[in-house]
Amino acid sequence: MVASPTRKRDFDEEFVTETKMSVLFEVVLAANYLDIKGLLDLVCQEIADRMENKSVKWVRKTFFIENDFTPEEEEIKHEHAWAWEGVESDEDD
Amino acid sequence: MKGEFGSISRKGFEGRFGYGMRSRSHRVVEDCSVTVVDALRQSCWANMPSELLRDVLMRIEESECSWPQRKNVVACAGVCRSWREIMKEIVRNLEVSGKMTFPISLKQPGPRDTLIQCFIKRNRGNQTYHLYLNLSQASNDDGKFLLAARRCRRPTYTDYIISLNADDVSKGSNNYIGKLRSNFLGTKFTIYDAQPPNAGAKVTKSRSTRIVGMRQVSPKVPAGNYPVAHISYELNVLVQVASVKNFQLVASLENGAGGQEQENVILQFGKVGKDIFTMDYQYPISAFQAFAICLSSFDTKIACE
Repeated sequence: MVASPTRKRDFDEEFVTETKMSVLFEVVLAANYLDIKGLLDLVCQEIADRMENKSVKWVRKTFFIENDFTPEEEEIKHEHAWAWEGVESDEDD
Repeated sequence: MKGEFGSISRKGFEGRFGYGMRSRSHRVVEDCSVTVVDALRQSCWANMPSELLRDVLMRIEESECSWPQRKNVVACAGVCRSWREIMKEIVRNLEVSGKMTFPISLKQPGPRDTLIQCFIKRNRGNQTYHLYLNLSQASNDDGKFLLAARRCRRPTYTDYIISLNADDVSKGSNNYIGKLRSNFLGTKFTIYDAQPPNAGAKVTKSRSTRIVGMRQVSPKVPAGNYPVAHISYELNVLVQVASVKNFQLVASLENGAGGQEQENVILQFGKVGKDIFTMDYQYPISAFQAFAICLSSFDTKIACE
């Protein structure tokens, strides 16, 4: 029995929103390697959506990224302060 | 090879996949040590293939078009070097995209066919002016902060210090980006940029901070005061009460085909409330220049025609 497009969409939606970030990462690598465009689009979009309104600190922590800025660090702080001016910071900051 | 992948996928991906580097993947699957897998997983994101990272960052840049959401684009550019490099490539300058992103947008010419709508709030008490990007057509209260200026009166001249930070408006600050100086009468003004004009053009392509930074455009160039424009008001009429006048700055363009001159409004300024003014600008001037020009109209002590 072939699932209807709506059911497929619902399944995709549920799968991607309930999957841990670490698993999403593995899925995206697999989809990239196996060249499954639909899955790749779905997961990349989910990763992008999850990053919305997150702080730099949250991103670094979630993605295990080290801050490798040195001379630019000061400038980035000013840039950041300007972008966040008047905006309430989220609890992850 | 296909069969092998088939069997891996049936067992599930959790803990089975490594970097996705084809030559090493089967070695990772054989290794059952949890600590090794964890360490690999930890460094995985940092080693994410750049085309995938680019895909994710492009989605973010495309969806976060307007402020305040656009701050997410700035956040991504502040994560690490590789993310910054990618974001700089993706984000197009103001003239092309019509979107303000990094502070450098404030010194880039506006788009050619649309006016960027801003508003200025004046605080008479502490002699400051705040420039905002208008975020809502309905009101002049919803804005993204762009620049702050503070008026400093001196015996023979007046300076308007312009800064990226509303709480830190001083010449010595790292947020200082330029100033407007007027003569005593308020008829002649000079706009000074803290960075030399076309500093970006001198920077070699290998420099990574060119587009994104303001002060780091060229680390070797010290912050100073580089005159970039002069404004003069003709003294025609003396009135008893000085008031801020609405104005439009128009550029005449020659239409190549017909030879007829076209007038293009590049800046318009108008009072809409007691201490609120609209400022709309487009190519070829930048937000910084437009703001300075508008500030000069606040200062004319004797109303000028």
